[in-house]
Amino acid sequence: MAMTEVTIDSPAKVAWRRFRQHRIAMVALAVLGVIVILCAFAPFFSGYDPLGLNMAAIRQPPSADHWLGTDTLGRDIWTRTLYGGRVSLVIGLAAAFLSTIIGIVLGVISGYFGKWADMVVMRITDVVMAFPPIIIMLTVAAFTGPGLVNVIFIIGGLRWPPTARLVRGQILQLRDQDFVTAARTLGLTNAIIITRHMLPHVVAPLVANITFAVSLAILTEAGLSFLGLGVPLPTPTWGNMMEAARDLRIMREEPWMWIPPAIFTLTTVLCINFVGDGLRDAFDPQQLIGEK
Amino acid sequence: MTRYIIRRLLLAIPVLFMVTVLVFALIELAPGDVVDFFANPEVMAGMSEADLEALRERLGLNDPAPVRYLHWLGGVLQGDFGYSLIRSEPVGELLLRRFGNSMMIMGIGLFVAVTFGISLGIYTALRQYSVADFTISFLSFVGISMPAFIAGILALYIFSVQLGWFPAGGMRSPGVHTLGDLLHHLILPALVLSIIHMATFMRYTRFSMLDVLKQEYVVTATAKGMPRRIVVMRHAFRNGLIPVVTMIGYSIPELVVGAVFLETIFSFPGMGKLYFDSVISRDFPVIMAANLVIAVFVLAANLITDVAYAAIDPRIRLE
Repeated sequence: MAMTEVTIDSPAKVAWRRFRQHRIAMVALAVLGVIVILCAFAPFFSGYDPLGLNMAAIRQPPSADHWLGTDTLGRDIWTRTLYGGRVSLVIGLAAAFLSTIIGIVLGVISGYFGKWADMVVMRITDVVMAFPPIIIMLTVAAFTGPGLVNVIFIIGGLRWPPTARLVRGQILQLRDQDFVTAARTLGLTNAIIITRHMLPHVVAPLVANITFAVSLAILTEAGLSFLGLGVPLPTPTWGNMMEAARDLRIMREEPWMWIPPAIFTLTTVLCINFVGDGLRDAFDPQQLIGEK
Repeated sequence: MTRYIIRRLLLAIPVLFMVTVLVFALIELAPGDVVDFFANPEVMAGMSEADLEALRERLGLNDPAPVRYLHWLGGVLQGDFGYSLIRSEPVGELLLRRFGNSMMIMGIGLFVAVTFGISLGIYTALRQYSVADFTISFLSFVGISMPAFIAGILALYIFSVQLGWFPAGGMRSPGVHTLGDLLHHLILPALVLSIIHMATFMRYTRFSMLDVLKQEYVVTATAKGMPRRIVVMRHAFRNGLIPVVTMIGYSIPELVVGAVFLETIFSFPGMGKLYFDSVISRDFPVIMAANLVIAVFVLAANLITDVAYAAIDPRIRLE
């Protein structure tokens, strides 16, 4: 009797196949790729120094020399937009990473151990969520002082409640499943049950959540920096470049100073959200069932 | 139902208590105190270090933190939020006035968002996969990704600066006290504020309606020959609206965040701008009071939402 060869694709492979069918998400991924490459390899796409002052060429409108013009200190806007993208993207990724880790740890503690641990963690979550995210960040940022690392910790340290709630919900569902009971009966430690048996199931719903956390963190940094409480000048970020628009004269007469970072921020966030949407569909087990 | 409300209120007490602790602790993080604030050469010329120390002692600033916390909490419970360091005005009155101004922007913004968001949600759900559905859904995705401050500066640039349709900021033209003038100032920031929420409500309504329209009772209603209009509005819409109601309540925090940015951009004298100005100038009493008022506002909105949800959906178990 001939052996039938059965091949089982890994979940990641299945997800990728399904993701590719999502046309808008694929376009968004490509655009995002272009933006990331432009920012990451900024020196290849611009001959100027992002911090280089040039008093002979201040407030210049876009020209052949300065594609997007110059700012009030004669710095090249195109260059600053690319280098600013580096900072904004790094902050977005780092803050999202931090908030995800905190969310997973607290979500697991709350969902797995239950009882008073759950009570305490959930009340802390309630308290943090009682403050609209950026509101409390403004107070903290004003007191800790502006700075790149501070911004990462402020965003990461206050954006975790949605992740914690998501993870808690997932863990609660898994806790009473037979395979977890089996693992416990075999005498496995809590650490192994959680990391080897439960967390892999949380990855799928978490993937989309992480992408949205990145776009939220990028917007939060931009918002804080726009109000002058994020990353301080001269380091460029998309947010603090847009701060120029708070000067009505610049907003009216020199829009090239703030429109490029605004467009880059919007495009990046929109693309990340489309990719996240595609990932959510790709990882949705409900839709997997119908597939052959 | 009453028991459910009472239980929710009791649960809110420890959260509220922790909120006051957090609000107080945040200010403790700040370097310096009220006396340092005033100890600049212009305000306190000629005051020696000993004088400052005496002032600290008199104001109770040398007391341990828990004592100062209880002192502050005692005042708050009696409606005394202290005096603004900069505006020399009781914080309570200041906040009340500014909160009222903000409510106008947030109220109009939320009203527009709810009306148009739900209408567009129903419209697209009834025409799933049509060009209109695709276009509106795509735009709603852009709307959700659009932060209030970028939408704000773009709207200010396009509609006030370039087109000149709206004033570039403020709440009233100098010397003019008409409702029309007030609305003229309110409408742009309120509409911008509504964008992100309109997009959210539209998406939720669409999802929810698509789900409800597939239900058997909708098929039954259609089968017995009811006009489409009545099937949609009487049978489907009422149930489809339930999850959207919760979204409205939970959108309050984002509404407050949007107000902070838009009031700052449009120089609108609301609570959001007051909050931002106070953070920049370290007006401690105002920051503490504003944080507390905003948190209570959010908690109250959540509570009302949960109760409303339980009231309109009898399937919710109240235990």
